[in-house]
Amino acid sequence: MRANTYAIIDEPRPGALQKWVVNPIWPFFALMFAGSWLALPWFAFNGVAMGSATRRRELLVVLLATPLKVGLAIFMLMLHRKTGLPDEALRYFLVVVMTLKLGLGYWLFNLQQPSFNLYQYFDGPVRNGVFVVMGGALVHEPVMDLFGSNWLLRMLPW
Amino acid sequence: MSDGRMSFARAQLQRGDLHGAVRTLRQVLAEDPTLAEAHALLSLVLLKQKRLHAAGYEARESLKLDPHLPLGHYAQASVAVMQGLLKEAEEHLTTLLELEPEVPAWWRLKARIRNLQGRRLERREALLHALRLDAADVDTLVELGDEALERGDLKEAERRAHESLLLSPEHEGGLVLMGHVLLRRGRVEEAHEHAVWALRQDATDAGALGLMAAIQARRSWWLGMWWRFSVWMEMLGTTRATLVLLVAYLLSRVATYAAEDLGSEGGATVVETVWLALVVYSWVAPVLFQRLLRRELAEVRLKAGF
Repeated sequence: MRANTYAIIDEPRPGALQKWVVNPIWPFFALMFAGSWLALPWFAFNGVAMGSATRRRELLVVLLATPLKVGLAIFMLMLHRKTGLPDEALRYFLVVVMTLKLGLGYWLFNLQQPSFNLYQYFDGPVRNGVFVVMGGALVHEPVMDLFGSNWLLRMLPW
Repeated sequence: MSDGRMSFARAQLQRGDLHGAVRTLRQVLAEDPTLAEAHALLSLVLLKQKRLHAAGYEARESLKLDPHLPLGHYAQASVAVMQGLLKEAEEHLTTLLELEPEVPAWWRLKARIRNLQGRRLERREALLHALRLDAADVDTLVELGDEALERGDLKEAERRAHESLLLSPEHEGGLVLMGHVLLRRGRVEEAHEHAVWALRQDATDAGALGLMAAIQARRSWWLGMWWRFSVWMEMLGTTRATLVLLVAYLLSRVATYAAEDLGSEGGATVVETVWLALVVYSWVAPVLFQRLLRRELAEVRLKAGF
């Protein structure tokens, strides 16, 4: 991208996959409208494809996201049981898990955005991710069904 | 060869052409990556672009290559100040003043650190010392004016603003300072013109945006509120802005559930609608804000044309 020049440490170093780079807003939307099954690998791939300077941290967040989400869900469930509140109150506890999921999405988005801005500044090619998000939203339910009816298993792709 | 380009990069930085300065310094460093001063200068440019991580790296590189380079210590101290690491900043400042005790910019940095430490008197002393070193340094005059304004000494602030604008009529800080003085004196329109002049040079300058928000507040309280909120959100930074949104999300969900559990379906709908409006607003607000800002700037351009 910038041959024979000095490379600044926070600048992306894209490779052969750069033709598949999208604005990180699309994986973020995928998280909201489809699910983690699509968004998390997409974030990871996008970071690697654009050669994001923070890709290691992005990968770490992607890897930790699912254990964190499931762990918090189990913890909130136990907390709910301990309080002895009726089943209807469970959703108050689970909203914390939803907030964590959203927070992780924002975290990845905020991590990748500065690299993406620099990538765009150097005229790196960018694809539109809207159709992937729409397709993901359409197949979301069948993907969830692959994980059966156990809520803990369904938490993985959610 | 690189001397000329270093001066060029310095000039680019001074007139706010940050992308240009990065380009120039990149070329200089491509030819000679061991040029400590180029790394230090690049660090300062990156700092202005809010690329804190890269700025820190370049500052460290410059000091690795030349541990006695004043500009390297200045860059490293400036990065530390932005990171809130005042102890580290202080260490570099001490070295800096030992190496070159007669550079006004180093004393202004000391004033900045003292200000952050809440040692106001020492801040003023450092600024007066900088002024003694160079009585025609516009940046020092402006910072003394800012300090006077904070103390409520409108007379001194006005005098400093006048002096700085006489020396450099387009100085952003000088324009903002004068704008604040005029606003406090109730001359809102003149203050507005000063804010616009400053924003035309840098539409993202926190001081100029703050002045504009204060002026809008004088014109109408709700418009002022919106301006203040928008400037606050713009200056919040992504991490904190995200936290604000997440907390808002959590509260809205809990409020919706509570309304449903209390049998108020209408209440739940209201909360959901407010939350949706907030989300949509958070997407369009930066665009709206920038558009309004451009309109403010265009209006005055028209006046100048008349």
